[in-house]
Amino acid sequence: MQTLRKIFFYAFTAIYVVFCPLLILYALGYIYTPGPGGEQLVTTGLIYIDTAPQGADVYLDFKPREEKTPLAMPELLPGSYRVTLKLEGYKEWQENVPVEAEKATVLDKVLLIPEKWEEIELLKGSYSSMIPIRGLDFIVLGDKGLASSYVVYDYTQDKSWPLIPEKKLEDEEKIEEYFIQEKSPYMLLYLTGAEKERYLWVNLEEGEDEALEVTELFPHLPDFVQWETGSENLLFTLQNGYINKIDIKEKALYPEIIKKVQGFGVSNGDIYALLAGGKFIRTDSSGKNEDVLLDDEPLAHAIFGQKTQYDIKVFPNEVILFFGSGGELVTNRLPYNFVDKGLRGLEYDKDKGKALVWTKEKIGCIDFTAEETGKIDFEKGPSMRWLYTGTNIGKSFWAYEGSHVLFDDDGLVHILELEEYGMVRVSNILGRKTKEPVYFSEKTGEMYFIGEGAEGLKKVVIIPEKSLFPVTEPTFKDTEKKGVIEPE
Amino acid sequence: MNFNFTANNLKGKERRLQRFFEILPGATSWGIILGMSALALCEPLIAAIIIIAFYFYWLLKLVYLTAFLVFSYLRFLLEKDTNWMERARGLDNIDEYLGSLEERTPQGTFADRLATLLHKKEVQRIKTLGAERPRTSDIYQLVIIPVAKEPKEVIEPGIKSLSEGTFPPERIVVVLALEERAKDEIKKDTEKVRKKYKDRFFDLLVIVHPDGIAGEAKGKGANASFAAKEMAEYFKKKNIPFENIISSCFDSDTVVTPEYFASLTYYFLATPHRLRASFQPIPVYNNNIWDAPGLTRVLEAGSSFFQLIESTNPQTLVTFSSHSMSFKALVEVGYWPIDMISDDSAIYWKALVHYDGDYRVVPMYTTVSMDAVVADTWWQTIGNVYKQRRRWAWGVENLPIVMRAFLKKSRMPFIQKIKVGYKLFESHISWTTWAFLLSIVGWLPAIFATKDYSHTVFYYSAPRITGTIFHLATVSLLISIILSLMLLPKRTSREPIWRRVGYAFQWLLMPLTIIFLSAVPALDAQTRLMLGKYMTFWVTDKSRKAK
Repeated sequence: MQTLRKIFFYAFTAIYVVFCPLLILYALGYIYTPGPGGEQLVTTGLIYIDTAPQGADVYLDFKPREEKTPLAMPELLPGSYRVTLKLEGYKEWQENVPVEAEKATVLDKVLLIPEKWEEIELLKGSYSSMIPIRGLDFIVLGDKGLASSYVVYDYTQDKSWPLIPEKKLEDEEKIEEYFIQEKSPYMLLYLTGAEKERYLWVNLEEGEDEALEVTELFPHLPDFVQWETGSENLLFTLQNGYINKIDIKEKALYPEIIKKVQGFGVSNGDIYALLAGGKFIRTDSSGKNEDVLLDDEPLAHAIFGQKTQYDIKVFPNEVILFFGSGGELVTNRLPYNFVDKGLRGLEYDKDKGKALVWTKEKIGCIDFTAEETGKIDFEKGPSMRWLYTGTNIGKSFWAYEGSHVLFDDDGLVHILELEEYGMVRVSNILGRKTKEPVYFSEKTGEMYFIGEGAEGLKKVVIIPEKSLFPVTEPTFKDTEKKGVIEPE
Repeated sequence: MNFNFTANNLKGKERRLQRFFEILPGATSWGIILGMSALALCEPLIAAIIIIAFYFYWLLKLVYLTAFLVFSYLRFLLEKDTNWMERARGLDNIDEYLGSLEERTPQGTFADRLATLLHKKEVQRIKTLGAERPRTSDIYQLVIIPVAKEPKEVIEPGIKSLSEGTFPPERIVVVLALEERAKDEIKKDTEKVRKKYKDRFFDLLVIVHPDGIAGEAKGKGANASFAAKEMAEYFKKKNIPFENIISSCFDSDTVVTPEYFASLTYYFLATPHRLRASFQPIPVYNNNIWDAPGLTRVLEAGSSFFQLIESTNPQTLVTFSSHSMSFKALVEVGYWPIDMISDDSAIYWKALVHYDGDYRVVPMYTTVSMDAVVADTWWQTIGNVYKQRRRWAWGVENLPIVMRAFLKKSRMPFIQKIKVGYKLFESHISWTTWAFLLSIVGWLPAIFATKDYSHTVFYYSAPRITGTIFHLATVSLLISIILSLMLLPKRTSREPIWRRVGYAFQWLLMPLTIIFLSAVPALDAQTRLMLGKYMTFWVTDKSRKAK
């Protein structure tokens, strides 16, 4: 037995010594193949493709592959390949895809565009306005501002309920103004009726029936209102250059906790305030324990101006965005001023560290994760990349994990594929004009909009459900032909 | 070599050296696990390359071990129906016996004929060596059974099995080494057993080990050593030469097969330099296997397999659990260590150091059956299994002592020191790290892939390669399942077929079992040793359902 053991030991050692390096080299992309000058060791690359929906036919340099998406095509010599994807009922997708040695060219968010988008009716009724609550599954729908017409619709549960409980409604009341926060199930409403105006603090969740009258806490209609999810008792308002703190639970108003304010934001229990004197400070929720983040008046005036009011958004990894009342976009990263005027909206993708911004005519992207090259002596910050030029851009959304942008332009809804290897690809989704902005939910992959003639809420499935969390194992077959595939 | 095999009462350089080697295994295991995790987060490509290299190594080792598991099992099967007493007595008149073997016409199954052929060759080899050996009728068996809290129903089946073997019980001396601190009912139980079985053996003694002897740890080793010392005086008085006594230290739940002592006698007589060898049977945990939960069964089968595999490599075999050795060697090396928990393996290391490397373990292709860990509830059982595995893993306490001994001037060949030291170190490190690397750390590069890594060919190739490796590894798992089913005892009651099928499926729990009831307790033991938080002996709860 001992002799046998020795034989096995040496045999297995030999197998390991020989095959382990080969296995690793193969995994890195090295293969031994016939070439013009005889057999040689070559370095290959790979293309990985996943589509939504999956199961598309794949053509590499116009030659069909046996496998369908998702798939990985290994053993490709460096070069450019024409990739074509075909799926019945969807438009053909084509792209020139570069392949580098040892690298994988990843096209894992290819969204196939249907020949015809199917509109699905969700909620019947006469609605003219739509207020989506980002981060939650609610859309508030109403008609012509009439408070009694407003409902909360849960698009994952397909349920709706009145926004304001019937017992709290007063005759002929209209919603003149509202304030919402991302992920917060509360809404501050400013209502006007025949005889009086009032403020209501409404819980949107089903069965809560909570609509607290808080009129005495709002002597005037504030310019901005902010609160944090999970701390809905504390509201901060900006009014005539002062920040007021409001404790909903205690029904207490703490006026002017910070003065001479040009803009503010709330994050992690702290207030970030841009002061008229050129200071940018962080305080606790009482406006105390001031921490000065910028104290350079000439610089502050140069980048913020002196009259513009700012809505300040503080994000993880210390990115701060200042959205000015004149459509300015300022950040705390070089070169500070990204948009001088006309900014209509912005969306920040916290996971990807990218901001989507749009003006009336342009959609752009700022990548805050972009690494410095190290080749330039001047400090380099994130830069703006303009993606699309249109005529009247209304609203834009990140879609499909930041790989696409869904937007409406002049009432027509389009989807734009952000793709690294070629031209930006734009496809139309709704071929007719919409009066109200659309809403896209990343969670469901669906776009919601009010149907033509304000006849109810509809949806279009943009990203098939399966592709949100891919479960299919990618097909991974070696090249069928002997040797590698070379680019044509 | 004159070396004090202990970790206690060391001073100066010896103490520092001891601490260094105590820290080394834990530090290495933690270093591998945390280092690879950190590498997977910082340099996922490099980590993934190392992991693939490791997976491939693991696959080859698995195939290698499975092959020897099968060989060993076949060998075990060959010897299943052997008449060991006949073989042992045959060695008394070896020429005549060899002649009778050669005249014997081949009959029976292929296995029988192969067993006879192998035996014939072995007898020829023994004859060629021409070493002197005592006669079978001169051999005495000393069986020491430490008792701490085991009741009569645990002890008695083992004693009964000793009295029913083919080796004459009238040449077996049984010692119930009773702890003084044992409860009164345990003491009464021991006495009842002594009275009941005394007349069946040469003698059956109860030797009470006093509590609190200076320098002793509360452990099995101190108890067994005390009994063995008493027995040395006993045998001197009886004029029985120590070299004719085979001493066995059995766990109290050990049940032997009828052929066990005949087999042990044969192996003892057939082994050249028999006084420099321990004899290791295959431990199985069949006494109460059907009462044990699935996780325990899988682990116990794994332990048996480990011994089966190890038995094919006597050069690195170490004593484990119930084992036997010459009483003369036991006395010469100074008995089992009295201040160590892992006395069953420590006695081998102690003898190896004492005889300057001239000591080995002879595998026996016969089983001893013990109790699987069973407590009142499932969670208690799992807790007890955890503690038992941690105690086994505490065998790492041998490493610093052995390494210190190796660093001293001894006549043990340098290459042997390296081989033995490496094997001891590597076995403990792989015990703690492999399960983590295979089940957790191996997936980290893919889970925390940076954009750079996720855009490499390797990122896409690695899952395919690891998938293939794991698919191939399942073949080994299937073989293990089949062998474990074959090793199960015959059904004493009407066990439904689904229980056996269920048993096979319990092997699918292997990844969980191996992490939480093998690697984690081993890491726990190494960490304790590293931090100087030394373990005390914990007696495993063993119970049997009333039949």
